[in-house]
Amino acid sequence: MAKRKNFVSLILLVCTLGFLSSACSGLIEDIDLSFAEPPIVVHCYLFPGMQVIEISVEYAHNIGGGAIPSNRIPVEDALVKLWSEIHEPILIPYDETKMLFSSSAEELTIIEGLEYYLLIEHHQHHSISAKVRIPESHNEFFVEVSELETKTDSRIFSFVAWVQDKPQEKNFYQFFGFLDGVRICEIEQGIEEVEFSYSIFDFNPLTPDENRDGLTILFTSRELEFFNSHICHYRIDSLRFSLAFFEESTFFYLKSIEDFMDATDNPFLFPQTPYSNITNGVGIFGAYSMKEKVIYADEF
Amino acid sequence: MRIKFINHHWLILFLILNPTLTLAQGGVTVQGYVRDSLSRETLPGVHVLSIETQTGTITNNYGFYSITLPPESTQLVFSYVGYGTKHLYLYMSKNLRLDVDLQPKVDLEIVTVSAERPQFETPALGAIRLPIIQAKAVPAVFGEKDVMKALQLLPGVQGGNEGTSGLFVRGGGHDQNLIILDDAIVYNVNHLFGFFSLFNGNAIKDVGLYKGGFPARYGGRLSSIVDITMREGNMNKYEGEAGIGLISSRFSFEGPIVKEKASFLLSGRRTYLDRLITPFMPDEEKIGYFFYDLNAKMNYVLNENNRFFLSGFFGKDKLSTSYIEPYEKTVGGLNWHNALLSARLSSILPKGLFVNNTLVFSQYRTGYLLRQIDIPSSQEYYFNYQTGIRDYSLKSDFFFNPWPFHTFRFGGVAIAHEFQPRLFEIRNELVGQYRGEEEKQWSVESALYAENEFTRNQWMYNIGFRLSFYNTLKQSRFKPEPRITIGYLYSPLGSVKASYSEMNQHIHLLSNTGGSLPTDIWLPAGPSLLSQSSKQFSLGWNRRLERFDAELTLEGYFKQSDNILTYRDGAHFFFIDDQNPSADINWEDNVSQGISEAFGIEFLIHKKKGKLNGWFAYTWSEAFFSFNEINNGENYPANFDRRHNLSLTLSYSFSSAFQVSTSWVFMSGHPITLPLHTSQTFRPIGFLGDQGMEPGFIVDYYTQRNNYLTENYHRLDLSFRFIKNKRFGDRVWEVGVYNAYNRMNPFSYNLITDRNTGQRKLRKTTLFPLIPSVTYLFKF
Repeated sequence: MAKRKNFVSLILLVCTLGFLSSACSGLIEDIDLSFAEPPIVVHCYLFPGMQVIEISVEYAHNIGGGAIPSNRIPVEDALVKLWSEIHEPILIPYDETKMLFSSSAEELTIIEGLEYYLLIEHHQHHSISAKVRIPESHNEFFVEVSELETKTDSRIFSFVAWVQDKPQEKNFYQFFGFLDGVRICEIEQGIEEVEFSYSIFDFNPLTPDENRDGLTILFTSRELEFFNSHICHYRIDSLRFSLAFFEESTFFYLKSIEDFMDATDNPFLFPQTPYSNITNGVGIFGAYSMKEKVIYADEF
Repeated sequence: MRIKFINHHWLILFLILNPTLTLAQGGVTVQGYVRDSLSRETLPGVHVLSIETQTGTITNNYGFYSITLPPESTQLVFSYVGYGTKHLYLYMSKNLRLDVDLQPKVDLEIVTVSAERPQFETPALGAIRLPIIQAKAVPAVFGEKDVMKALQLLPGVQGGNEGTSGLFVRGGGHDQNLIILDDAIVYNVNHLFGFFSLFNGNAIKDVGLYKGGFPARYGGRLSSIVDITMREGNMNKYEGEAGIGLISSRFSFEGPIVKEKASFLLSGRRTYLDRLITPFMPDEEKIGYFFYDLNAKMNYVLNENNRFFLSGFFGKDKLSTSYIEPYEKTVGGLNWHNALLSARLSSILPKGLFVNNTLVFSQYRTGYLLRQIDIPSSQEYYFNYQTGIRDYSLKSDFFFNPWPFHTFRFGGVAIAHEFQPRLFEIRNELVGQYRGEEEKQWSVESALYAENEFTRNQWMYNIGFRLSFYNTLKQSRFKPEPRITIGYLYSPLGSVKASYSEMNQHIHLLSNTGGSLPTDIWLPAGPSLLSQSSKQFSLGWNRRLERFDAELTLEGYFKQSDNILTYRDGAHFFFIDDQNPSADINWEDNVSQGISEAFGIEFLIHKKKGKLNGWFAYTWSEAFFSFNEINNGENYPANFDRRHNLSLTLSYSFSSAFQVSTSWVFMSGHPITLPLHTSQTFRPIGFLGDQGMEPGFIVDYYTQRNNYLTENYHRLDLSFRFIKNKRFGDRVWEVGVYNAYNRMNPFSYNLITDRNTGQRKLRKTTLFPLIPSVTYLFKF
């Protein structure tokens, strides 16, 4: 009995020592994921008044394939066609400088309310297609500005913006604001005036009017700091606001990109894959319209 | 394939209640408790067989049996795993109260698991009673024996990630298991993120698992019932056991309060990693973790017909971290605890009616705390989050054998759930102070049930019906649940069975993991989040292999579940927008409801007796999810859809002083969600007054949910027990090896970015390579 116990103990000891050395190494292993065929990624945004139509058609990268995503791989030999309900298809040529398919919008004007179609053909892939309707903008867009506090080096404004939008319809917005002014400095030779444009809220949230009640409030307040000194001071001439009216898919896409960035490296968020309206590909064939309001300095 | 609702509820009720239809006859009833002759503890699961009629019954969870037989001489045989079989020759002219004591076999726990083979079949299908001795013999990581890990080795049951205690039964989620400890619902069974379960083997008497063919007395979850009964304590003498392991120590102590009248049991565990490691960590980076739990039970024999039980459990886990950098100090913590208390009165009423009345309190709470202090400015970011659930329940269960070949069970349960979905507090310079408290929510879940288990010639039936009620302030729901199991004994050794069950689940768990994190939140079903429901068909074939003293089982099942939950893409697990905490993010906005379908075949050879005992299990299964808003509405594989599962668990006693146990597990890979592609995006810049577009973020593309199959998992564990009988008790050295051939099994997969090249890789992390363990136990 004692011999048997000793024998078992010896086996255990040998096994333990033998495996322990290897057990403590190799707990991490990197795996190649480069087996999957990458999809084609398409990006295009249409809006009324655009002068140049640009369409990006590129291969995605395989994660783990060693590629760096910012290195673009355009599908140069693709056939890219664009048309609308009232326009005949035009072929968009590839522009090597921009690494995009690009064409003047004079051949295919972008008009509110029209539906546009995209077709991309490539001998190694199924045809890629998408369609989008250019959203209609409207003038019922209002902004009120009030100055809450004025200091020597900063001014605090409160902005209330709202849209009398279309009831029963789901509308999608993003609100932008810019401050246009002049920086005036005393220099040896006299006075120097430099015009500037300051983005007030280009990160204002993408806003859907979920309740479809015909009214969407876009509200924000912002402290603007200018650090006036005895040499330079700033003169505000106007506040310029613009409202983007997004087509639904475009809104979903941009929102999903925002959500994707929020979810990255955040263990408390479920992974988000970017939305797409492209058949047989990923990306977005998007559209929006713009409306602008300018409030001059003497109005606030 | 959609299962159409079987609208024959009235027929089922008729079958349960109509004794004429079921050909009932008069007879005499023998009933009583079956107990351990030494400790006087009651024994659940004892087979009681009448030789003359070849019919039998099994003692219930409280050790009570009742069998009605024709009034004539009979021989009753009582047999139970690990105990000597008892034969009683009776002449019965009237009803008889017969309490029976069974003698444990010598060195029962050490030498061998043995039992007389039961000579009769019950209609149970999809049910496995795992002898606690076998469960405790299964080797485990760090030598911490675990009932839940043993259950994971049974067919149709899968564990989650490596080492965790979650159960995924027949394609269901880990939230779809009703886990009961002495009638109290356990909402989180995990210690140390699931590497250990709450259940201390020293305090457990019996474990039953139901995967299908659910008896009507159980309800409230879709996938499985795990019914665990705590030991009651020795009525005759004081006993104890203490053990010292690598990461924890444990003790148990039991004995009479009043000899033969009342007893107690106390059992506890605590880890000491925090005490051992934290002092040696640098002040700049400290991590501490501990858990403890305490089981306590008291029972009191009021008189021959009434017994009172009081049992409780309390367990807590706490993880604390502290990092000090030149300009910032971060202190964090994560904790969760379970508290259970149940009081039960077991009574034998006139006419042989056995009744249990139980009052239960159950609470689960979890919390997360983070404090970040900017040292130069003393500015602080403070985040505290808590969530939990509390239950108060009342339960009455009746057990009745009025006629030969019939066992009736009926009763009711009412559970008041108090949900605290989220309570959080944020303080920082940006938002000032914000305290958000989701209003507490109440719901009442109640049920009435009746079941009749009966045999007629070669046929066996368990016909049951459960009426499930669900009430909140906003709604009331009523759900009928038919349960039918039918078996046919085609030979003395073999039977075929079929069953159909409907189940409803009125509470949801929002979880993104297979383990336990504070992000897991229990929520009530509501107007917008409907109750989950399932329908399951199963077919089984049973055969006893006399030559090997083993039992062979083959079962197939098809299960369809409705209104199951998952997170939508991009959902926030805390439902909190950190930058705008007052923003109202409803959990309904974060989740999607859909359906799942699961089917599979399970094979089991189970040998419970002899020097060599154990089991071999194989499962082939598939499970799919389908949600309208996810994956473009297309089916995708369920989270732990492993196609092949195989386990071999063996224990061999060389002598009374040496025992070897081993288990080998193979599981094919399971799907996880991974991005396979990445690309540069472009964003419009027209609204900035420019033309065209410009490069934006780099994003990843998940082609679909659960799109990547992890590699296969396999592992061999070994355990060696050396026992020595000393004057004051037994001394046991247990040496174990987890993952004996050092297989690098995957625990997690993460995408990482090389800081130098910007290249990204998928990194597999292994948590447990070969892990030796040593445990010292002494019993006194």
